[in-house]
Amino acid sequence: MTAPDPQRALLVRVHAAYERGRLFRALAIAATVGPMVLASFAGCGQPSRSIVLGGLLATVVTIVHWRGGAAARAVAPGLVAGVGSLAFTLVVCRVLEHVAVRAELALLACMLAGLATGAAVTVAARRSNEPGLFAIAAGAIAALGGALGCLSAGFGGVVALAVGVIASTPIGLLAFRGGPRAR
Amino acid sequence: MTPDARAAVQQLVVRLADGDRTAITPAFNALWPLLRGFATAALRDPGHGEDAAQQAMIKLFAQAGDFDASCDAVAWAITITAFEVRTIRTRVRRRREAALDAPDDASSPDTPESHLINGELQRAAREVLAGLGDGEIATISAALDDARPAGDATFRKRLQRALDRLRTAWRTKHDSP
Repeated sequence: MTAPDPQRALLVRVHAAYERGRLFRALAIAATVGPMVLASFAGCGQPSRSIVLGGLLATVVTIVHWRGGAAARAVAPGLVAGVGSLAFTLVVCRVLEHVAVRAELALLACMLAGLATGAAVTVAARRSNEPGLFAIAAGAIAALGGALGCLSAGFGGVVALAVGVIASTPIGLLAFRGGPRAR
Repeated sequence: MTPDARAAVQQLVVRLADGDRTAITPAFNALWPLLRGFATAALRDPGHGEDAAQQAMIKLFAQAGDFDASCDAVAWAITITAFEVRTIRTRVRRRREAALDAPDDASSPDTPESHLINGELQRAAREVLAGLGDGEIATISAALDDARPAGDATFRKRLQRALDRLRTAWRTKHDSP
């Protein structure tokens, strides 16, 4: 059905309002990255790297949420998993620094955090109607969030966390394939 | 509204909340007549009703991302529209109050009405003055022109008497104070 001209003008305004509303909401959600970056300053890494990684995470969160769909529904679980991973790696970093243990254990901790994050993302993805897309979006967001804590272990820590997420998520999805889905 | 139409609106708004852009036009086409009808009926004015419905549509779509799928979409849309109706009603009432508080333009010296009123008053004053004596007219004119004669001790008393005569003549002619 073609709308008359005044209605078409209103439809254009409505369309713009919809996009603006989604963008503002996405930016509000992305603002939660700020406290995560501040928390990562308490770790053993460099604040400048945390800020760069936080900016990347905020950008990904904004775009993914603004776009919508299954990926947007993955933002909140991804952030929660990222916060858990960040907290774990920050605590481990401080403990290892206290007992003067070498960096290999920090890499191992990052790998464990990645595996746990991947498992959490997989559980959340099972409830989605598009588990693959959900797992990719949530996994990426969780990995970036967790990487804020793994910066203390250097680039290797970030890679170890990413490997953990990438390794556990597909395995989990395959294991749960055919299982119960909420939607 | 039929239950089927209500269910269709619910489905469209849920799709909007999920970020499905293809639902924008169908949701617009479904909601616009409903909200315009509601706002027009509530405000009893098609112009104001359309304004309220337009504002409601813009707010509704801006907030569509926050819509909770467990809520009734039609009730949600009507609630937003009712808020806009109330806003427009308040604006109209304030505009009316401001119009009542505004100064009367007819008393302003630059309007055609004020020229007409001044002309009428001058004509009435001339008619009343014509009934007074020459001495009384000269005394009042001198007072109005601020041309009080120097050393005339009786001027004030004569002016008082002339004004009393003028007042009496005005009351007699126009039956008013």
